[in-house]
Amino acid sequence: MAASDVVMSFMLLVSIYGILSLGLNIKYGHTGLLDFGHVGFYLIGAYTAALFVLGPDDPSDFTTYVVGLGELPVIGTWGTAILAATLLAGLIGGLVALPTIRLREDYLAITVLGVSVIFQRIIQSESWLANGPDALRGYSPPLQGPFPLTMETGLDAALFGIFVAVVWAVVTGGLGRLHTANDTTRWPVARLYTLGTFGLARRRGAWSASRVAAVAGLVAGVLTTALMATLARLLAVGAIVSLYAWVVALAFVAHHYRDLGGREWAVGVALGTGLLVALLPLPVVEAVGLKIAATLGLLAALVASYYYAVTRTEWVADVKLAVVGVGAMWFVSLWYFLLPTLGPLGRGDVGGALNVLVQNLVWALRFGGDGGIGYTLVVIGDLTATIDYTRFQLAGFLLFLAGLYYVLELAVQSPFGRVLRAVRNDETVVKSLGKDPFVYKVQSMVIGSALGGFAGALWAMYAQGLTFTTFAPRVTFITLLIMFVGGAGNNKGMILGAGIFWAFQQATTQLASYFPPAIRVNIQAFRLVIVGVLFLLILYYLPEGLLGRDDHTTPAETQPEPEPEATTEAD
Amino acid sequence: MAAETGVLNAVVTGIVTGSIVALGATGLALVYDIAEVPNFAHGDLLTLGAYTALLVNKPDTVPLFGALATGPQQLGVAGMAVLFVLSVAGVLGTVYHLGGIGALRGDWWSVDVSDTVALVVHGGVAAAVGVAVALGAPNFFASLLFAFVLLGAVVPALESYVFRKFREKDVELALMLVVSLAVAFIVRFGIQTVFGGEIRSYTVDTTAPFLGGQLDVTLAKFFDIFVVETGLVVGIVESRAGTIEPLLVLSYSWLELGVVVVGTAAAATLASRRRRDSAAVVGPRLAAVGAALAVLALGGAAFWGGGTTLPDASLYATRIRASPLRLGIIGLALFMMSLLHYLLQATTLGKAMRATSDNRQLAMVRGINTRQVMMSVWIISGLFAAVGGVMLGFLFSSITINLGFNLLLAMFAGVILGGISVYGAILGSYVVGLAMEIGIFAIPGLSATYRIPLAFVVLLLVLLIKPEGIVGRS
Repeated sequence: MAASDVVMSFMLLVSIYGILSLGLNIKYGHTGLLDFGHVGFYLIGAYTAALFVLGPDDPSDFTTYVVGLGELPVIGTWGTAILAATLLAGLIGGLVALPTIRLREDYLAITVLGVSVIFQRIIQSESWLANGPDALRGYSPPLQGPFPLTMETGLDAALFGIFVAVVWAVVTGGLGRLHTANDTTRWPVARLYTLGTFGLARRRGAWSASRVAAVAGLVAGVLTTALMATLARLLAVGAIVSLYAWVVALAFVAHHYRDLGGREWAVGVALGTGLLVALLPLPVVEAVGLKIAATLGLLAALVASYYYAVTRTEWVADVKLAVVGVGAMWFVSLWYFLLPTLGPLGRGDVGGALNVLVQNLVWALRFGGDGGIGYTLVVIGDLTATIDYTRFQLAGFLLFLAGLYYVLELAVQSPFGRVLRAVRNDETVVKSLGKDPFVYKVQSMVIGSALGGFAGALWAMYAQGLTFTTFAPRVTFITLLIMFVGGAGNNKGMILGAGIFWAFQQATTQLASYFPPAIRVNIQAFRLVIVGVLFLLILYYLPEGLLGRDDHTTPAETQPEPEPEATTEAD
Repeated sequence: MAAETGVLNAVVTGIVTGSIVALGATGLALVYDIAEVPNFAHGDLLTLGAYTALLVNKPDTVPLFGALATGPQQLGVAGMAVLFVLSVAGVLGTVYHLGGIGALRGDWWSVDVSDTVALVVHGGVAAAVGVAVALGAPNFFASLLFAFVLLGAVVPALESYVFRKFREKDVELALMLVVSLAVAFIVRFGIQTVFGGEIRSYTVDTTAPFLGGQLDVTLAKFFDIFVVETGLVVGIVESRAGTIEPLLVLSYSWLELGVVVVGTAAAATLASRRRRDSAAVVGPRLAAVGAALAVLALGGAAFWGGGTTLPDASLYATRIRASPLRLGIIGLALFMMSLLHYLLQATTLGKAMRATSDNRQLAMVRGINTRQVMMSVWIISGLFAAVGGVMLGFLFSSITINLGFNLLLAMFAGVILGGISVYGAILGSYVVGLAMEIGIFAIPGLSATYRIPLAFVVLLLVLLIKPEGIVGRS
């Protein structure tokens, strides 16, 4: 499996948990309701969606469930399933809120946790409902048939067009924000934006950046479909889309860390390289005890030197978080680009190394495997390119995430969002202005739970099988962690938090494979200990999270120069 | 004739469950009330206690430490030395948490003694515990003692290194909840990092000499109760290979029963009248209950009518299923709770704890060492968690990393029901235990998985009607 495929499945999880955390953020971040039972709504969404797309129950087989609507037209489709999952989770969220919302915050947290456990127990013990303690399987995600695409039919071309449209729109949307920030970088952001939007950028006066991005994506999608139907240049289009995304991502990083000087970058790169060196004993050393001791020792040395630098050197202390970010990105780039090529290079196979590099660079396409279009390139060698279902599914999930994020940002900036924040800060004020905080709290619970249900439906689609053990209180813990890492009350922070958590999970899952199977459980548990310790450190040193609270208001007294509304939106 | 289990059996089972819940809930309530931490890690502290006892009971199955074992349940000299050192460190660490080196010198004693005496006493107790654990291994009680002293030192460290730091930042209660959740995560997966994922259990000799024979404490006995025309017959019955064997039959006539009932009521009233001071260690209610139980037991023994056969027909018959172990847990819980009651009511430390619970600011102004109070609360919480965890592991005969967490919700239900106070939590735990068992018995078609949900339904109902809890201050 190429590194890009690992990244794809990582992004799928980020989208699901991003949406789940957006829901919790509405509850806690925006309204101040501490919901320890968020996983309950995730569960309701997942099982509702599954029951909508499952075929009617066959009494003769081993699975039993209450109803399967999969064979009904319209009702039995994934669209209806997701909608129903969202609505039902929202409805139940409201019903749970009605009696509990008046309780003290700690009572609320514990009772809602209890409610989520009750949901889990119901699934576990009522076998007629959703196959009880055994897995509920037997359905497949939508449009899976034509994959992997070979561009032989018009449908293939259209599906690839949809994929390109979504990726193009999301990337262009990001570029648009960068363009609005309008600072001087060495990157030709303006020219790239004109190119990426097919000249539509000139309409900026009349259209919002999101609208420009959406239309640009549409144009890219239609162009791709037409090109595929006539010429089938899969590799070329895939390469263009991938490179476009890489360039925008690099511009983003350059913009984000524009204040860092050369020595700060050097510290970050040293941190990332140090991490890689610290992990070197894993594949190299044979004896398990020595392997653990050497890795832990080197990691401790790395953390100690970072701590030493932060406490003793002022200029490092000023950028202590930024250098960790740079280090993490440097580590990921080493892992993504350098490590896969080491194997072929070690054998002296330069062509093979380039081949792997191209595979990872053109992330939009899947290489190898059965099916696809074959290419033979100079030096690089043979490539079999296709679009697999994971990438197509990711495009869909990204679209959902981007759409929900957009809608939520609108809601948060609306008068409704202002009232929610007022409820969080001081209920008495809300009451004195003639609004009933109870109503707003229930509405917040409904919206947050509905988002949880939506995420559950996507999980059902992603996992293609549901067991009650998945929906343990641990999921709520992870969602809370994501929320506090990103910054409670900041929607963008949810996506960042989900990214950080799953990057850590994916990275450490790979590490476990260097250990004998007997102690893998211990290693898996150990990484959760690390997660817990990091969570405590973040709660203590960064209680506002990485991105801080996004209050959408201009505190006039504390800030001498209030910034205009436009910059808070762009930040 | 054999009787069927009925509601009385559910009540007895409920009291056993309530006792287990109460062992955990008292520590949880103390910390919640006085240290103001809704400690989500408390369930995992019980798990920690259960796993810690494995070091003594089954050292050969513990990773790394197992290298010092010489055979199944057998330790070499090096292993014994490690246990000795750990136990000594546990005892001294517990004392140290009460106020640093000063505490070791006897600061926390209510009598004034010289530093040397206090140091010698502390050292002596620590050494005695160490010797008892090291030589007693793999005995069950040595394991319990080991978990007891170790958790007494480890749990307050959570306060020193985590919760106090956050309290000093003056965080909201909601954030404290999240912090404790993170601690729970660290404790639970820390245990799994060391012990791995397999299910473990204690190996304990469960037979004890009893009335000249051998008694297996884990095997269930049946207590059959018959109401017949002449009176009441109680038979203690054992079921072996399908046949019913009465071990002991007690029969009482209606007259004898009447005398016992009247005597019990009279004793209770008298005791309650004599004890008017509700602040004393034995207050009026406690005195009444104690006197009533004493008279009941005396009367039951005095009128112990003969007979070895069970009646063939009865007006009403019911059966209680209980093992000596389960009944022992009730006794253990009562014992632990009376110790705590004594501590709270009769010692200076207890008075300081109650004062801090009422009003921390005022207690500080009056010169009470609230920091010491806080630490002692965490120590007691740890000690109770150790006992609760080890007993839970013994009772379920399987120790998993979810052992304590599964009970956490029931404990929280009990604590909140009781309005977040120690005495309320004890009462709340028994309400929760009874609700779980009677609910499972009374609602047909409800599987045992619904125990915890039932506790929550009770909690929700109480919170809706009386949000401050059943004994809470409104």
